[in-house]
Amino acid sequence: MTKDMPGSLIEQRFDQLLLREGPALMRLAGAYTNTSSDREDLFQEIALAIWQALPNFRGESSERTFLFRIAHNRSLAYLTNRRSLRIKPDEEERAPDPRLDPEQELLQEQERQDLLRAVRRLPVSYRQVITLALEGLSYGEMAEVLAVSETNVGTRLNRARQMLRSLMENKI
Amino acid sequence: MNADSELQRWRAQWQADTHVPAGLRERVKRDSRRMRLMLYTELIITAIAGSLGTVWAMASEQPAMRILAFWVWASLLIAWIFRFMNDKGNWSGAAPDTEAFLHLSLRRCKANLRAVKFGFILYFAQLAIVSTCVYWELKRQSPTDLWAYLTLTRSLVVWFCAALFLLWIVWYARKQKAELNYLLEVQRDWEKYADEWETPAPESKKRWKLTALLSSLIRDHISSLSQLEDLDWRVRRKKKIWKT
Repeated sequence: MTKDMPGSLIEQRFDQLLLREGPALMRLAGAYTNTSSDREDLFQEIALAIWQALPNFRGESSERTFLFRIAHNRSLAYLTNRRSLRIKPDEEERAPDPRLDPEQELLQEQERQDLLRAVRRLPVSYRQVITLALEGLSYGEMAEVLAVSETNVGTRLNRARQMLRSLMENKI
Repeated sequence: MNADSELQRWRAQWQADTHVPAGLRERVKRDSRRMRLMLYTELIITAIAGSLGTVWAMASEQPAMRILAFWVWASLLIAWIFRFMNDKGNWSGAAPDTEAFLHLSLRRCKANLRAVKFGFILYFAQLAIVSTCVYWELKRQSPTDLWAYLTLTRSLVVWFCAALFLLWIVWYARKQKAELNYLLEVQRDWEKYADEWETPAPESKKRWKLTALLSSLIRDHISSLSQLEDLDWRVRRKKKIWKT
């Protein structure tokens, strides 16, 4: 599909993909890193891997599953380098949402941080499936990304949710 | 709380974060160029080292320098052959799934550790041979004391570079070993949790043991080697799961 595409078209395709899936990939990067600068580093590595893989994308799977597969592999490689474990976790900076009152905003941010911390503490195999589920991928898409059966996705997701719930209840 | 509404709530919290760093495409293109440059650098170094050795040997027309030029080309050839053999099968940029990616990463890490050992041996062999050839040539031109040769300014620069290289190689080997250990840890973690849904419940263990026994009996009657290997693998996998 994308094979033999001229450079400018690949650039255009890359921009479109990042515009559409960028926030999801950035959130995914957040699940594998502890600080906002590490998160941006990992996101850039994911984007680079996508940039390099894009000319070879033949449309055998959907673009979304193609992107998430690359992102998960890159994240795993990042974990291996242990860069994410070097620095103690910090609180990520976020621009306040003007639609919410400060108290509500603070509460929501607290809940989001709790969820993120709990996701980061899941084993890799559970973290993969839960991040995909949180992005709203279907069982079929998740199975395609992880190269396992839909039944396995279901079982794994169920266990990941149980573990996540317990981590959230214990406030990690 | 309903399980689906819980997932919906988490999803809403999760997706509330929509931050994406700006200027990404330019940074990605810059990184891509840097990676290509690194690849070309290896070829450029090979060409420069080989050409310099040859030019020097031709200009000098001395046996020591000819040996040196031959050795430079031979070592470059050895290095490239080692590189292709060491990286064989590790070129694949992508893996179809996490398990395959983990295996690929482990292979790459082990290959890097082999390359470190090889680089260390080749570098110091290179240093010994080149130093000997140069000393031989200098001695031929005018009587030179070995100690005086070893303490020449240019020799000291070479020893300093060798020491730096040694330090770098020790640091890199330690880093690779740490990565290898971490990868093995991730793999253990991956196998533990990925196998969970396949682990039989305690009451059904006997049934699995019986299946394994039957498998071993049936195995005697299967002629296809690939099927046999597959069965073997499955039985070993089940045994491993019981042990854990």
